Amino acid sequence: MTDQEREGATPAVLPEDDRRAADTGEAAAGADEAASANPEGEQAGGYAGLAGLARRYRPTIIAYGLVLVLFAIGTIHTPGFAGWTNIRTLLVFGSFIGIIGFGQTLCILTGGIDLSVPWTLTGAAVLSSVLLKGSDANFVPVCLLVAGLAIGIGLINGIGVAYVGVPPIIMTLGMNGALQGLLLVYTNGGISSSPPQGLVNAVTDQVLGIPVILLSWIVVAVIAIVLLSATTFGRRLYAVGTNASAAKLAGVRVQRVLLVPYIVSALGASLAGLLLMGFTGQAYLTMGDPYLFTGAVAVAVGGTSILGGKGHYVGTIAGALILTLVSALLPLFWTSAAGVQIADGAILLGAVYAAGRRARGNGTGWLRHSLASFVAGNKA
Amino acid sequence: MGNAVGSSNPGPAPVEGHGPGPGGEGLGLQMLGIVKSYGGVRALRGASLEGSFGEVHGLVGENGAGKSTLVKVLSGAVAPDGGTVTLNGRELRLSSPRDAVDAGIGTVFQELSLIPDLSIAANLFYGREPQVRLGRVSQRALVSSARQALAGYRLDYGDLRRPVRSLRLSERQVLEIVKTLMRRPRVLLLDEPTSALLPQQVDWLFTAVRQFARDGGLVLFISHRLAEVEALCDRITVFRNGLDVGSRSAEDLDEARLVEMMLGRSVQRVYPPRESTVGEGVVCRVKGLSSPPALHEVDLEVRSGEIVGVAGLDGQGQAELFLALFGARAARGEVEVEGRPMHHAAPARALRSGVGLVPEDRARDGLCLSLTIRDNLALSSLRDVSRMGFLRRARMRALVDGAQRRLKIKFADPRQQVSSLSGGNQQKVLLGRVLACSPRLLLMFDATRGVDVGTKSEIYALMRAECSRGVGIIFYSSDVAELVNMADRVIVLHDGAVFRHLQAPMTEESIVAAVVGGAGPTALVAS
Amino acid sequence: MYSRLSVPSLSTVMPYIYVAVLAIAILAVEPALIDGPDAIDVRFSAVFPLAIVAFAQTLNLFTRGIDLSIGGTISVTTSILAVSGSVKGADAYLELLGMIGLGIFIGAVNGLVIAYSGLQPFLVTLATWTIWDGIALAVLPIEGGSVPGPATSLILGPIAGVPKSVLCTGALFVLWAWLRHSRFVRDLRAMGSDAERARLIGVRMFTRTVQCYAFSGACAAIAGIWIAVQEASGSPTAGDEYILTSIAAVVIGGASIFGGTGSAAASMVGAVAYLMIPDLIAATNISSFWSVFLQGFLLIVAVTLSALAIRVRDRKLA
Repeated sequence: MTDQEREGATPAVLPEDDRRAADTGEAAAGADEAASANPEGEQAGGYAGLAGLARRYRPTIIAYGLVLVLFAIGTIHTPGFAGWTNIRTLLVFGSFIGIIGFGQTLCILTGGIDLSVPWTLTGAAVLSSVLLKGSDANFVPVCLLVAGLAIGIGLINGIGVAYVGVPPIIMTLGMNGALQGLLLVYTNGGISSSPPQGLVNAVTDQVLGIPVILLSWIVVAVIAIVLLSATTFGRRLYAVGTNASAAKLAGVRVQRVLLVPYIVSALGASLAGLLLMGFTGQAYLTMGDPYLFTGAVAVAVGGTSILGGKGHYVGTIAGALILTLVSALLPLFWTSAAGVQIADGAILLGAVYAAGRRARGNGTGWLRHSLASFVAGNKA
Repeated sequence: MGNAVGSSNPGPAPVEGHGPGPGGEGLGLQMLGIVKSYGGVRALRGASLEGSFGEVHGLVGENGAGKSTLVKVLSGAVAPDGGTVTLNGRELRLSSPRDAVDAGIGTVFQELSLIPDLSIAANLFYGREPQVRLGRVSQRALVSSARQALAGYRLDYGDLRRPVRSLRLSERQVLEIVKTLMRRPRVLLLDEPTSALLPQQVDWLFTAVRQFARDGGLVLFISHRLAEVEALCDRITVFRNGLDVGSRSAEDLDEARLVEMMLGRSVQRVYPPRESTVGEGVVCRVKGLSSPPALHEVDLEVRSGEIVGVAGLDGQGQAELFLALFGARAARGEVEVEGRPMHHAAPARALRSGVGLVPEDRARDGLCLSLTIRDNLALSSLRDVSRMGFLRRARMRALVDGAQRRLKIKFADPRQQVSSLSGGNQQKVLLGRVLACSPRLLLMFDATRGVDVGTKSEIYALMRAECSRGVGIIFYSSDVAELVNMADRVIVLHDGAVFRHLQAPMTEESIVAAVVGGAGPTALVAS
Repeated sequence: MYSRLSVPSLSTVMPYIYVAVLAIAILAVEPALIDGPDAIDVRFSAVFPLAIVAFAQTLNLFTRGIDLSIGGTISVTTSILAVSGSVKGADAYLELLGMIGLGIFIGAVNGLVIAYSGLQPFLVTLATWTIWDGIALAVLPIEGGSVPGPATSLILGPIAGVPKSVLCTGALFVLWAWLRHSRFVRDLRAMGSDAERARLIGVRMFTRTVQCYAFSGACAAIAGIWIAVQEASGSPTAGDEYILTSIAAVVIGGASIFGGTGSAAASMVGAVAYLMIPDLIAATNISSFWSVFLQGFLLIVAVTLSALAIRVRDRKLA
């Protein structure tokens, strides 16, 4: 039973309407009967061993399969596609999605989402561009300021979601609009300074043959995987995403846990903004627009359940690669921008379908999910 | 006469005459050889059931025996893999709930079939609204018809335009029953209809059911409350392991015989022998615990090694008491655990103070069902199995092994999903998680609900073992026999306050009297 | 005993309060803002398309669904109209009907995919939005074009002195007065309130899903026609801004994100409130960019109050 009802954000009694006073106490009597019929507790469809692992992460395995298929298509179509230069370019493009995808993975694992990524990203780039005024002198202080603001943005989002009970999609949507407004006011509709050369050089440079941007993604990926797999925080996060009220009664500080995804997401978006600014050599107000849903799509396509509780960043990596490969391949087959877009949508639909059971469920998943119920009060 | 379902003019329905009308005799209901599997496991293995019109037929069985599946088949919620259902000699095809309704089978679902955000009136008349013009339902006609219909059952719920979610659970259960009765089915299927009802509502239901049978309908009454089944039913069928194992007239059966048939063996519920483990030290002292509106000025003391039972009708503050003690609910008052004051701010703090809670509904509030057994077991003790935030696999394995041994949990691989375990084993995982923190005060809320008899015995033994180590236990149970056999003392809650205090040795009658006495004017003598 | 009076849900009353507050603020700063029927017409011409998509989005939210493809439908509608500027006479009216038919088609396909596959409406409509925006791009690569004459004269201009924009918006409110107690809406709310129980009591989930999204598509097409005529041109991305603003309007209108409750009228009033903000900012002479900020801020305020109201209600029931 992944769809659980949850309690209110402040300690409240379990509303009477959810108390099932029946002595059975089993919500899914059928499942219980199926399980009881086998008192040893072993079910054929268990998740033991390697076979079990494969079953549990099937959507992610399918996603990586899709990556290989797409890559193969490219290799067949274009000589040089499989060359290191091209791969490197693809990975660099994927890095932006991948970095944003870290925070988005955490948000979606807890049944939420962050739609304030576009203007957090743009804000970081534009703000630092304006403040640096083209010189490298104050780089570190400006970076710290941007990071601090990102943490602030994430905190506000997180407090709204975890403590006030605002559904994540709305909270972050509102934040996105508010940031857009503030930035427009701040820049009066346009900016005239470009990023300092030092930054541009640093970002487009390579370390041991690996572009700095890709290196950043690798670092983020390592942090993400370790966080989710090997830390107590990761365990708590999954618990909150699966059943927040049970997690609370198990001693998890649910509200504090819920703050982290939004802070991480804002930091990730800011980092992506700075990197993008260095990469393109400019900061402009529409920088963030393409990234509204991209991160979330990468997460979903990578096999993480929109309902929360299931999935991993490893899948998001595949999702980012899929999106990048699709963008790279489409222009090879369809030359018009329109054709590319149509094909893009069709592939998206297909990829979402391939993510299978995990993408299913009714309603706006990250809205209706137990997290939202937990935070905003119960439904009968 | 005949198929009286789907009447478009419900009119006021007096308490008498719910049934299909005179001449409602026929061959009755026959379910033969019903087979149903869920993913490779057979929930029903060729079960059969026969009921005649004019009869109140009880259906009992342990969890997992198949009676819930049978109900689902008959109500059309689930299609069987094999077998036939015949009503009045005509074979039925029940592929959807609608088919069942059209066939004259009215179901009062255990989980209720009311839509929370729709109004009371809309729920009552769903699909059969009195006045529909151009696809639009006339609200005035709807509400007044609803008021009339409810009045016919001597019910008044005030503003019928408010959403059903604003009703209490017991009111909703009554509404569900009325909704089904109004459609004048031939077969009335009641699945755990009294679970949330107050005693006077249970009386109301019994009266309605008896009248329904007198008018020629067939009632199928499914319940865990054997006393009710015996009191109400003419005939009882027992289910075990996916099959019907016997069908007898109610006069020929008593509770012991019923339980024997349900379990397949003669049973004496195994309680561990009473020992005096009560020590001198006070594990927990509570003064003036209040959490309005549900809890008022509760004082309580639990000594080391003592088991304090909590009794009371549903909704008298038990849940709130436990949550408040655990810091999961805002409350005022003093709580001390082992002499140290506990600031009841958060469950996490309560855990650190040495309090453990086994919550009410393991599926909803206890376990994260889609997580692994290992993750569930370790969830409250993450600090102990990690260093500087990083998990230590060896320590986690030790914790899992320890819990498995101590509680005799049956599983093949700790990386299995907890949902793949049986109810009893799931409960053990929950207990394992709580005990892994070595609490000094153990709060158990109906910890043996929905658990098979074998596991229950193991849980009782576990409780005694903890007590002999000086742990204090507060446990709430809706099963009076458990309180009698396990508790050293029993407090009875009524309206959020301690109404009565009973000392062992107690009798079941004295507890029941105290529990019911809180709800009525009769004064009762404590044992 | 229980009160016999029905207390209107606080959340759906809020948008009226927002509008009142904003109106007072605007008139306090610039009393001469509304100086005649033209000023009213201009404003309602902007309100109508947002109101109609907010109406449809409310119904989608009733089912706990959402329709992002309204952006694509609007875009493709304006684009097709913009390349058919030379169409005359009866053909033009047929074309308009065809556009609405196209909207129904787009929505029905959405509904079929969602109902059949069980996939998240968010993801499905995200994909179809991309597809239809792409088709719009194929039809009209660059903004511009011209709209058929008969369409323009149909939509612009007053009837008996009342601007059509006001009449059309009013018609939406009348439509809601009828729809809110219809079996259609009752079923939608049941589906969103509790899908399992809805199935148990016999709601035709598949049919209603398709109908709901088809209705959404039709509304989006009508909005697209309106926009094309107002702008006298088309754009392959005309609809994109309406997606998030329609959600904002619905949220400000107090509908529940979890389905089951809300009011299309309140959502439309929410749309009005949302669109009043640029007027307020313009009247106060501060940078017009503040209106973007304020709109986001209003959204957060509205939903915060809504969430707090739910908490109060739940605590009373506890």
